[in-house]
Amino acid sequence: MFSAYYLQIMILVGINIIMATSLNLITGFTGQLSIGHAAFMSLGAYAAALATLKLGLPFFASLLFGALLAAVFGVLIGIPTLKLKGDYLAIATLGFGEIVRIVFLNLKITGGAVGLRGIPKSTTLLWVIIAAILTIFILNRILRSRVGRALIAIREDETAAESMGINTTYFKILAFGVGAFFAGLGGGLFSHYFQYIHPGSFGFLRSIEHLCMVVLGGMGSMWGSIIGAAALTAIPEFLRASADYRQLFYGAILVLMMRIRPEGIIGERRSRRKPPQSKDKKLGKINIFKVIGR
Amino acid sequence: MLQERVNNGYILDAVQLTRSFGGLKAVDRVDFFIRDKEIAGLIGPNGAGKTTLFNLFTGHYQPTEGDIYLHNEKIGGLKPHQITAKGIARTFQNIRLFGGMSVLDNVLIGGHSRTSTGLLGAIFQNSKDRKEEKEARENALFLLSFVGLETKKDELSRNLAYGEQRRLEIARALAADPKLLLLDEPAAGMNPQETNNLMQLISRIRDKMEKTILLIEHDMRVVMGISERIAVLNYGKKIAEGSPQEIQRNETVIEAYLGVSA
Amino acid sequence: MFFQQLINGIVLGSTYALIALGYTMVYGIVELINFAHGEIYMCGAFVGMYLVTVFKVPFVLAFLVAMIMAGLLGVTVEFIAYRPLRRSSRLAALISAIGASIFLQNLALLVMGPRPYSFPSPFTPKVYKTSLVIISKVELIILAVSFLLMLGLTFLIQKTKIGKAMRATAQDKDAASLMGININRVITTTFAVGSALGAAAGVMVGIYFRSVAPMMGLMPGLKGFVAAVLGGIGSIPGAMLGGLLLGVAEVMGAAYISSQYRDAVAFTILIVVLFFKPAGLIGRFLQEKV
Repeated sequence: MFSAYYLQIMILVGINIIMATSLNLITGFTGQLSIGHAAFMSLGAYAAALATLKLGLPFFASLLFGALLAAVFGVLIGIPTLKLKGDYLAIATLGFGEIVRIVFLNLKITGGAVGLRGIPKSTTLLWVIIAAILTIFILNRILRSRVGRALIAIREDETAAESMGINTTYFKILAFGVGAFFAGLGGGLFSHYFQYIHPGSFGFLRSIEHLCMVVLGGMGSMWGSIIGAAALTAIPEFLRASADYRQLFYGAILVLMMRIRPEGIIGERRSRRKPPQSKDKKLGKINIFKVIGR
Repeated sequence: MLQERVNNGYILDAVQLTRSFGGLKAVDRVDFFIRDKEIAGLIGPNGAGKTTLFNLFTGHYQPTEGDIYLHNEKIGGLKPHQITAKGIARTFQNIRLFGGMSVLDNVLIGGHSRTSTGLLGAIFQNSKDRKEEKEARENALFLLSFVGLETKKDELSRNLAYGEQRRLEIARALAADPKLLLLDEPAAGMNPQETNNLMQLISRIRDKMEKTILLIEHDMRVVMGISERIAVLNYGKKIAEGSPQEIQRNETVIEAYLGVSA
Repeated sequence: MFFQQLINGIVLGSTYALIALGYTMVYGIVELINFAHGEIYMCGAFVGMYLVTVFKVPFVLAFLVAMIMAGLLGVTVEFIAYRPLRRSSRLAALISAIGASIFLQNLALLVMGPRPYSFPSPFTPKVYKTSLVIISKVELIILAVSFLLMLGLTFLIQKTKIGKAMRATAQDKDAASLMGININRVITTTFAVGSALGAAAGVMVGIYFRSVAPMMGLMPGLKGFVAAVLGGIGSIPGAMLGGLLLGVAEVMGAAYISSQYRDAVAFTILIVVLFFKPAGLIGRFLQEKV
């Protein structure tokens, strides 16, 4: 039906939709900048591949195994958020991503720098479509529930969220766990399509690519991530852009989008107006003289 | 001591409460109590430690010394979200709504500690979770109509007018079904008409919903008009306590506000 | 052996300290991680290398010009990527900073190509031997220059008018502005000085390893940030201490644990520090106002 080339692009689009929507849960909806999403993907990719190769698990079980392992690490990296806010967290996720990459580079079971070869090609377009739809469906259900409201409240105002009875630590960890689960799922699909993975497949720049998809589509917009993932996967392929230009472009996207349209290409325009400030409080101070003097 | 506390009828009781920032004692050995179902006022010049006291009650700050009891249960040292679950909700001096969310969602978040749907409940949505969500929405709509915002439920909260935002904050706090409601300068920036409505609203919250209310307010017309009891802070210390009439006649209070040295 | 590693660690650490100073100064003033700092370090190294090898400029002059050029670049990045976002959310500013970093890195890759350039050391390859350690002339110069630059920075911040304005701005931007301090000038100066220090580190690392490359800023940039966090971000002495400690820890880790995990040492330290002492060794932890 499709040529192999188009099929590959469509499979990559599907995997990247899973990556972008799951990162959007963490960064766009919960407001926690993660620049280590590729690390969760790599955990899922390696774990699923090893489950297939060494344990002989069926494809579905391998995928689940990879996703769960990534989720466990998502929770582990979420725990330092106990004390961390914004910028520190971003750096911690980056550091975590680097550690994961270096460990894979040096472990024997993952084949070191050479990576893993001979993974069976179990991933089909149908599998990818089912996985992507399932991911979007589940994330949507979460976001429209009490849990999702808590996550968005944390993004909007962490202090106020805590005052509303939200255990912000717990929900941030939960966001990382769920986001990592789906990133791991994407990784498992990735390794079972390309049949070959190595630590370089999941470097820092891959995480930036995911972030770009979320930012371009609009942080906190599910459709935005879907369109962002599709556009940033397919367009460079059709333009046959070299990797260098692509990354230059990613850098420019991040700077320009934040400047011109922080809400993304399809996101709703949010007014940046601050809430009206109270009038001079000294007015109140004068009142006491009136009342007391009476 | 404990026996006394059990029978004192106080909803909130702070004992020798102290909070220091470096060398500065923002709250200095304050004894403070609130009776069940009363409207109490907390006043004092700017920087007297009023908001710090609020932040101690709600767990945003930990006491340096002293204890806080809510219904005779020690709450000093708990986190804000735990204290909200125990029954204290608040509004903020500098309005802290979830600006990018709808008015209704803001109130629904207020009900967070009264609901329980978790991750799996959110994904699978069994009948219990659906029922909980439906009830939470009904309650939120009721609270919105209570504060007069039912027609605005789908607007983004940041697009509301100033006085509406203040009322939405109160509705959001009420959604936590608190025993004690803390209002931090609810009338700040309001015009006289809005202020009158606010005073009526606060009275209705106490009378109809049977809540206990503590408010910080600079507008003396509001504090003196609706509080049954007022405490005055100055330089972190409680300098007076009593009925509005007593406070208005109190020499120490007048000096604190006029800045006359004794 | 141990003392030799210690010296190596201190030399490496002093360059981390210079990079960390740039992060910590910027963070202290605008509360932003300047992700592009590693790229400014790289650009400084390239400018120095070009001046010395192509234009045959004397090393000291090349060093100073590299610092000035990097200072200008830092100010430009601030102007384009950070200043318009000053009223936006911190998340937006952080994403813009990451974008600026990626952009500069790949611009260098496109212009210079991926292969490293050799940067011949302008100093005679002389080594000094004692019973305990061997130290080369380049290493001694790196230590001396780093020390002098840190001394100069301390003077700038403690004794000069602009230094006083910087300290006031770090304390309370609004109050400083009300006192008539030109906040934009303070921010510009901060970026210029921080970037110049980063470039100094870049040039010195360039002659130390005798090569410069477009990707050379990535790891030292991250490690400089780790050093700043380790010392307590926003604290100038903290950045110096953090840099030295990180350099020593990394060299010791590579020597006594495993050289393959060398880069992981810094990130492990980062996560451990963030977890147990998020304010860093010297920093103060600011509580958010409610």
